[in-house]
Amino acid sequence: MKRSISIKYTTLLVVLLSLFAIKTNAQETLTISGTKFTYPLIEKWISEYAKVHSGLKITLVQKSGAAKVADLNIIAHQPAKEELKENQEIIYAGRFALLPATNQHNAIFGTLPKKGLNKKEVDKLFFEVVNYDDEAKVENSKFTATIYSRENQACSSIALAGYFGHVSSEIRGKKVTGDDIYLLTAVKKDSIGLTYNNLGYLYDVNSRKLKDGLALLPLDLKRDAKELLTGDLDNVIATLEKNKIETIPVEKFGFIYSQQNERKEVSDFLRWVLSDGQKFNHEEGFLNLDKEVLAEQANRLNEKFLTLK
Amino acid sequence: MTKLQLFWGNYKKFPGHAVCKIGILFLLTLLLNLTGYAQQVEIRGKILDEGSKLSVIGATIKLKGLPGGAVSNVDGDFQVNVKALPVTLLVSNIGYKYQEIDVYEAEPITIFLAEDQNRLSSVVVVGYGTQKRSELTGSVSSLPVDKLKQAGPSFESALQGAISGVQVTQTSGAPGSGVSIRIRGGNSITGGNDPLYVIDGFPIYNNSNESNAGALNSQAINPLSSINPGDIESVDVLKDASATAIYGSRGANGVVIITTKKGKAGVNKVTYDGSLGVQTASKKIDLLNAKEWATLKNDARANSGKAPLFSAAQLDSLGSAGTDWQSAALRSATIQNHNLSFTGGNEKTHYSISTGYLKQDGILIGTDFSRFSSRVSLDSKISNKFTVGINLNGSKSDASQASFGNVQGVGDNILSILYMPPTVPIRTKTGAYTFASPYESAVANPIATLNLATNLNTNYRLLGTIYGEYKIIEGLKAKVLFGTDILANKQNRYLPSSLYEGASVGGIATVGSKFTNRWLNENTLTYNKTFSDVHNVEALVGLTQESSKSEGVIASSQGFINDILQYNDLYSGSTTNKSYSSYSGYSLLSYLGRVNYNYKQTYFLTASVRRDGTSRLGVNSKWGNFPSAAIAWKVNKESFFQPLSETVSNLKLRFGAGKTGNSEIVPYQSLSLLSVYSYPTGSGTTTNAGYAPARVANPDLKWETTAQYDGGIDLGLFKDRINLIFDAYYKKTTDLLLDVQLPYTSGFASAYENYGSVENKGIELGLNTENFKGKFGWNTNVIFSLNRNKVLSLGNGLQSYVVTLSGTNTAAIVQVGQPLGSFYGYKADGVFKSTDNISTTPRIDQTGTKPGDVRYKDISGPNGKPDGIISQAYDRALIGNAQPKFTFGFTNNFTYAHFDLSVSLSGSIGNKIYSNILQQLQLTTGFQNGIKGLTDHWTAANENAQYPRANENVPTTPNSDLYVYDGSYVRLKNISFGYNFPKRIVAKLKISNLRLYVSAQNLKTWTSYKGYDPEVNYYEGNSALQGIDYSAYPTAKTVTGGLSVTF
Repeated sequence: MKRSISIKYTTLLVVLLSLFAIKTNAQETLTISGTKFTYPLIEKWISEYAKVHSGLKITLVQKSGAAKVADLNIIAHQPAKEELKENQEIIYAGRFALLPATNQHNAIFGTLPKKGLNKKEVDKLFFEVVNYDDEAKVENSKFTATIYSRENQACSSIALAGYFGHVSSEIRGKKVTGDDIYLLTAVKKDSIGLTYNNLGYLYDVNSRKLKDGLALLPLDLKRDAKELLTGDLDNVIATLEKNKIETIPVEKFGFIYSQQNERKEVSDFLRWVLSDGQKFNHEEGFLNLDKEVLAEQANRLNEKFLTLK
Repeated sequence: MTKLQLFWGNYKKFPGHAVCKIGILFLLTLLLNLTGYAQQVEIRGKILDEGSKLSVIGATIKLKGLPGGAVSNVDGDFQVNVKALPVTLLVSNIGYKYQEIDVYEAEPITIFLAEDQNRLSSVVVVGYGTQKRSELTGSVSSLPVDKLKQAGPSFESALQGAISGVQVTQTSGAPGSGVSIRIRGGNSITGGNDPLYVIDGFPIYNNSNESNAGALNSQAINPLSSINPGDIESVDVLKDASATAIYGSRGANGVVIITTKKGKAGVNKVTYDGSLGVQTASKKIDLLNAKEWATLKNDARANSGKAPLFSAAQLDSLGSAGTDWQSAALRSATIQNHNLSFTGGNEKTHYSISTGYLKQDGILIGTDFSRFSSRVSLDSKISNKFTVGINLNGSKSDASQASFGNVQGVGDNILSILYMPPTVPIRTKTGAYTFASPYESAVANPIATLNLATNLNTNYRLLGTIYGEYKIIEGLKAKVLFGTDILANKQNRYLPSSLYEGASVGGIATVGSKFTNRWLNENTLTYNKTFSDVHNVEALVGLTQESSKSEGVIASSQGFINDILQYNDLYSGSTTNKSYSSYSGYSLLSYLGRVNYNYKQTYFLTASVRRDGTSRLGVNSKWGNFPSAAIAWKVNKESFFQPLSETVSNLKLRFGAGKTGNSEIVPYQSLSLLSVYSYPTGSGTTTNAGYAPARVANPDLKWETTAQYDGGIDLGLFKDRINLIFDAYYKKTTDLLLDVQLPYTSGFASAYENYGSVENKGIELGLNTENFKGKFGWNTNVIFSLNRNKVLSLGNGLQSYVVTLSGTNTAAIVQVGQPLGSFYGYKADGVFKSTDNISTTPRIDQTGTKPGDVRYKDISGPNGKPDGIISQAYDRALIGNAQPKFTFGFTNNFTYAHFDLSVSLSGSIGNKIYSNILQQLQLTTGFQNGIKGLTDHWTAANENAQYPRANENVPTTPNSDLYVYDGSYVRLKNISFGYNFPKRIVAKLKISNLRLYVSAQNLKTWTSYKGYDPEVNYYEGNSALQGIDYSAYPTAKTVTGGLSVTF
């Protein structure tokens, strides 16, 4: 009988300890999810942050649907009002640029104008605007290409279309699901493939050179931006941070957090990203925020999380 | 059996456990192997509508280069299994843009499909089916969608200037009134010339008699105004015989096919369209003011030997004052239109439900038109092979109308407005309405009539079809359709005794109703197959039958003590007038067949035949065959043409010929008729009714037959930036249904016989150019139509006849060698001057002619030479023609970002108008008001005056070329300016489309014609009397603002 009582108490103790352990574990974990092409930078931030904050475990949640339960969601386009819930805010953490890239063996190079494509020509090449009131009013580009883009609701598609004054459903060609990196896989397989992609995927972040098999689509750029098409990743980033180029979309990305579930770990991490974390942006192929914007993010963060300081 | 139990049963129950163990081991091995085979990648996803974010049901997902696929379920979910990634998904659904999606990861995907609203553009609805535009062999035009949006209360006006070969003339500006439509000219002299309308497969003639019980002296409501333009998806016009011959005996005047909106799978849309506008009269006729008219009056009296009516002081006091009857009768009137529709469905069932309300006040006081309409369209796939559907369109139209037509006892309100002298006040000093003009012409006070008389015209219409379609084998479908068209017309009229028109009878009330019921049954088999990848065949055979009957009744009484009950209690009238009832019916049985064949989409052949039997015609000629054939060659598909393919994107040559018919005459004309006659007996005060033969039978009475040949070129240049469609045609209509006069010895006045022929030949051009593309877009659409009409023969050696109405000659003649719509009358030769020797000059009035009277040319005499006498028999000549030299439409559409601007001009050049109105307004009798400038009439001191002398005793006002006017015009038919809100903005409000617009119709007309409108067609249905202006409700210019929002 005694034995059976002791077994019971032991079991109860184990259960209680387990529950405590689970709760403790939950407090020290931070989950992040969202736009995948930013993951290389986020992972870098996580590993660097872990070096100075060993008590917190930050996890990148890959699976779809996780966005609903993650502590921070990454967004890389200007959200429509209904995309944000009432208690949600965005803290921007950097910028990304989309460059037009193609298969390096694309025959299109022989047909393009010497000075490169201007905005109008790029627009016509990538977008199709149908006038529903008038049949056969689809404008076709004079160049032959297969356009690859992410699904209409993906951040890069919305950012690209928005930059050219379109909606993402007006992007021509084929769609690719999953991750922007697959756009490059598609282009490498298709000799007339053409896509816009972010610098972190287009360039090898170690060698800082354009990845094998790819070439940038010649664009009609001003003299001081010309080297952008031939330079290494650092040149490209430097040029884009200095100039606004009408054929190269640059957009902010950031974290959506919920004020309803405020946690000190979240604000600490974001504060670190906006300060120490910024130095890794360039390394992973992302642009820094303008100084004013960065300062504004820090201020907003302090205001929102004042009570948690 | 035992072995099976070994595997599946309780092994302990069986001997030999070892054997059982081996069995279980084998089973596990097998399962593991199966698991190995099943190790596939599962792709799960959801398909949503991009605008509404709702699930798209029934979308097809195929795997590129691989077998298998899926269809999205009711939640938009799908699942496919593949051996390895990546794969390419091909996602399609009707009404959406096709998408090709590369999948690299197995995680769930969400696919947003964007709507493709342009799907119908490449398909044209033809008789008993649809055809790709690129495969057409005949001449078929579609109304551009934006034109339909600009249509007013009725869709037909949108056809004007929009489709080559279609001449649209507005018959009246009255709300709810119709237009006259001639496709490639009028073929028939006495039969109907309007095209056949096919609404969702139901062929109907726009017979205004069916919406006119006959109780009112008003224009009938246009039966087609019961169709809400907002419900129409497409309008296709079949013009040549190869396209229309499938409608056989009813195809000669062309066919207009109307298809209403249908639901689509997966998109549940709610759309509201609303507009509000103001209408004002586009023109007033410039008339004499009070002083000018009083001066004319005095002058006319003076020339008739009477004392002046107005003293000099009175003349001065009148000044330019007086009653402006036009301003009093015309007003700014509002028009509002609201349409709400719900469309959507799933993979099996599609629906479209809509309701609309239109309220249009007339620019003439006391007139308005309102329509309430509802529609349901539903189709459902009951099984993979069987589909059923229903289209139901119900409407109620109410019109409060003006009196129209100078019918005895009831004045024409428009003519009264023009004729009433300006010195007459609207109300007397007591405040009561002035009864009538106190001068010689009996003109009722039009303001009193418009305000106090009741002329209510109500139409109820239910047009419905129900069908079932069964797929017998792949490519072979059987379809059975039943339809009904029920049209009920109710008319109420009351003229109180306080009105001039009602005074003599102590008030009169009339009610009338007409009920028309038509039913239709169509049974068709279609077979569609491609052989050896190059031979494409589509065949159709069918049997159709329809029947119509119409019943009417009119009752009336007069002599009312008060005006309280109006038309609601005929019994309270002291005198009951004669009642009338009527019945008319016909039926039609048809067999039809058609084959469309093409080889490699390059060589096309269409052949069709229809055999019609109708009860309308003679017993010996009830059946007729109507064959047609057409070929087309798409030259740009040929290999030799490839070097030019960069420049010439489309080149198709077409040729077609066929025979079609027209039997649009009142039923029973082939039968001998007895009519009732009243004759006095005894002292002569009592009359008795008796029957006597009124028409002789013609058992051989048959169709009017039109043979038509059409050659056309479709040309597209520079990737279709320039599109040109050119057609040339020749039509000859023989066996015209004419009411031929008979010798009096026969005992009959006339009988319907097939005599004579008419030809129409012409060219049509449609040019569409895309001048600019991109953010700024500009396209131009030019329509040009030229038709030459000629009467070839009238039978029995007859060379011409003057058209008479109620025993009176009109200014119209039908003459061999001349077009229909020819005017016939005297040729004026100035006026007699004081120095002329009138007694020796040919003149109409031998005794009363004086200097200042009109001189007419002495053209001929009994010996073929001028005989010194102006007589009807020899001195009338052709004085003009209502046929235009050409008509055109010119539309420019501009877009800039989200703004759009459309400007449409339409015009008619070279047509003449015979204006009875201006003829009356130029009378110098002083009995009624006249046109501005009439004071410049002849006097001895003013021999070069514009008008003849004032004279009360004008002996005759003969039809002459004095009243023939150039009817050419160019009209700014429509300007519309709209803004489509960007999707990314409206999406935030959960709206998929939002458009605001303002538009203006008939803003400006350039013409030299002095009447209300150069578009005249008083005798709407009569080809011989076209171009005659005799009272017409003034046309309005309308400015409208509206919005269209889709959720």
